[in-house]
Amino acid sequence: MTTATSTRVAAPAIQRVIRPAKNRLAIAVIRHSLLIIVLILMLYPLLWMLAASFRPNNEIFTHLGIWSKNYTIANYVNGLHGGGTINFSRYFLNSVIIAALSVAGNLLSCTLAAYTFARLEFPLKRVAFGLLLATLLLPYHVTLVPQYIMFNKLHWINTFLPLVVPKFLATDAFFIFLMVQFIRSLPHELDYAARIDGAGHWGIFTRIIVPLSLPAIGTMALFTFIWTWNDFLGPLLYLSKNSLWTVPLGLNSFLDSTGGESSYGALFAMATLSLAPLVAVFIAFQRLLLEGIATSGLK
Amino acid sequence: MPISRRSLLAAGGIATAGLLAGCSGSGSPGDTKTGGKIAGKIELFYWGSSSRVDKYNKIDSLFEKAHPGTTVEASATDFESYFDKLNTMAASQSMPDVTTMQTRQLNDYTTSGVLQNLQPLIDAGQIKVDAIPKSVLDYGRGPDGTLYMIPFGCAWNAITVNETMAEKAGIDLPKTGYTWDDYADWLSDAKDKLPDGIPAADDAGGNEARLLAYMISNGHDVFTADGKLAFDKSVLADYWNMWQGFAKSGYLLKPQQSADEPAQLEQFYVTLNKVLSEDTAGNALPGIQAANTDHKMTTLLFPSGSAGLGNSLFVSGYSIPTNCDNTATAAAYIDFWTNDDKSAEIFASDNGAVANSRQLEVQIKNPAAKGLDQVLSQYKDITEAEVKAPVMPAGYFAYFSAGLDRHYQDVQFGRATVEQAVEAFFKEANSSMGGQ
Repeated sequence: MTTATSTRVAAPAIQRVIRPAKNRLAIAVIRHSLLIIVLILMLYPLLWMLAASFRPNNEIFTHLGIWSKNYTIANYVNGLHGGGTINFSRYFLNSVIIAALSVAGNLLSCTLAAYTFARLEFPLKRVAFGLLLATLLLPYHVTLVPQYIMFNKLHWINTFLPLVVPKFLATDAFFIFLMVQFIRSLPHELDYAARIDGAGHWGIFTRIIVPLSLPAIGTMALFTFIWTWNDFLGPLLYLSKNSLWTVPLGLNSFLDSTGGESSYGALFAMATLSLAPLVAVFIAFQRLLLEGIATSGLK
Repeated sequence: MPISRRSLLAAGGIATAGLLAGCSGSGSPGDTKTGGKIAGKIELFYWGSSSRVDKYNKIDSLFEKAHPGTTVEASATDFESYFDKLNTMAASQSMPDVTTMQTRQLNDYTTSGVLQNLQPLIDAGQIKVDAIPKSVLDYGRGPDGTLYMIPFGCAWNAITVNETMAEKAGIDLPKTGYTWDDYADWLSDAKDKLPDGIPAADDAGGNEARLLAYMISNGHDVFTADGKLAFDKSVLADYWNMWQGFAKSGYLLKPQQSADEPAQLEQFYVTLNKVLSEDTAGNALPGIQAANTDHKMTTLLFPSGSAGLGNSLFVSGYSIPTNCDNTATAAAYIDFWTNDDKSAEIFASDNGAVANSRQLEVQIKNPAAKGLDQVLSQYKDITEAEVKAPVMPAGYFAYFSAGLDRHYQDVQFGRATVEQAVEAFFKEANSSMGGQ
């Protein structure tokens, strides 16, 4: 039996440099001042938009500061009146309906599709998954016309259906890929245990996979909401009737680039209001979003 | 790399221009359906902001009252996205019954055969165009001479000048009929007198309207009958060298500034007193004036050359697509727009000077906005000068208008010499313009 002799190397003593209280205070003041300056710089565009939403139209670009002696709520009144006979609140309602249905559709269909690709074995699975990923490489303009023709033949133009139904058919390959990667990281042993307990695929999916995938599902829900809320081209193509417009189309209607006057005050007022749902959803799902980004590698 | 507003437009234009190639049309006009009952629903599609939507709603109500049993289902978007949507509709043969067109894009559609020949409707008395000057009506014709669009509004580009700024600096404005040399002298004079940091003009070397004016005023043809460039490469090289000379002399806005300029008139540099003069739509004057009430603004027509004035018009009008199944009502709507005085009063030349001569005179005498009378008088000067109008070929907007700007930017930012940029522009334009 040999006795191992170990040579212990003494760890270098950690010597905390204790600065005088006066220095610490000065450093803290400088650090916080810098942070506040950066914060103001980051928030300035938002503050400017907020201020512009309360300023008369002809003052917004001629006096570029934030302060004004002529603050008014007229922009909000005019903006809510919207264009023509439609109230802007109608655009909000339409956006909420489309965004909510899109979120529901993506959650349901993309999660199921992802489970299928991540956990089931079936012929040509790799080919199917490759094809799915290949759709990510297709420019939007390539599918634009065939899609439009198809929806036109189905008489779906001027309805929400072209914007919502595809979401229930797992057409967002990006989210399926995201979920597949997340589900693959979950231990298979959990599935086996559930199967021993008598669970089928539906049971495993609903009781094991979905609860454990909440961070990724939250991320998907949040991004679907944000992208749908901000989508311009889809509603532009499929929604001609003013009463069906979404918020981005409504905001766009305040602008004129052909020599006519634009209603910037109303635009900024309604843009400010349109941020509210995004901020609210972000705050509500912030924890899930950060977890989702951290665990899925999404950036 | 800076991306200008025109480059962004070009990207959209080029991306969607190919869509029209998928149209089933043959390149010749489709059958015109004359006669029929004025009743039922028609779809109308136009561009404009919410203030224009209000006007359209009022006019549509007047039409529905004048023609009981009709309904106008209108939709609108801004100009920049208008043609993205229209291209998709055209490719799927579902264009609205009354489709707003502009000369710059008209022949993208005429060469695809998706528009009706409107002459039979005029011959049948369903659309009356007696009050539209022939020279203006001709803007609605395709390369084959067929009438595809009934004009309702005529726009042109001009030089908007901050008159108050000029007066303060002691700069006289160029006199009517001034030449390109006079313009160069004026820029030089302005540079000497303006305060530091305020240039005399924007760099319009990549501006299609200014180039058209240069070519036309100097007697050059712009396009051949088959839609290719008709002028010599050396002419464009001289033109761009002229602008580069202005830039090097310090007369102009910096390239980065020009590239970053927003598309809305409220943010134009001339509106914000950042430059003495700038190329804008000629009919933008009332809006610019309303956005800058502290300074008096005015507009000048482009310089003249050996062949006279070169300002050509960009005409907006209405077309009826071949997929329209209610041509009688669509024609009645266009006729109403063209001839109803109350409607003209409501619209007040909101999208270019009204094409109807009678209504034009009324609006010059009773302008609906400050500066509109000056705008309309200027339009009258252009039509009276009988400026030779080029037929803008298919692909004009994506490859001539936007391509010119893009290639000139290469010169501005030192990415190409003038000769290289001219060569690239000619190659691209000639291989892409002129239809399928």
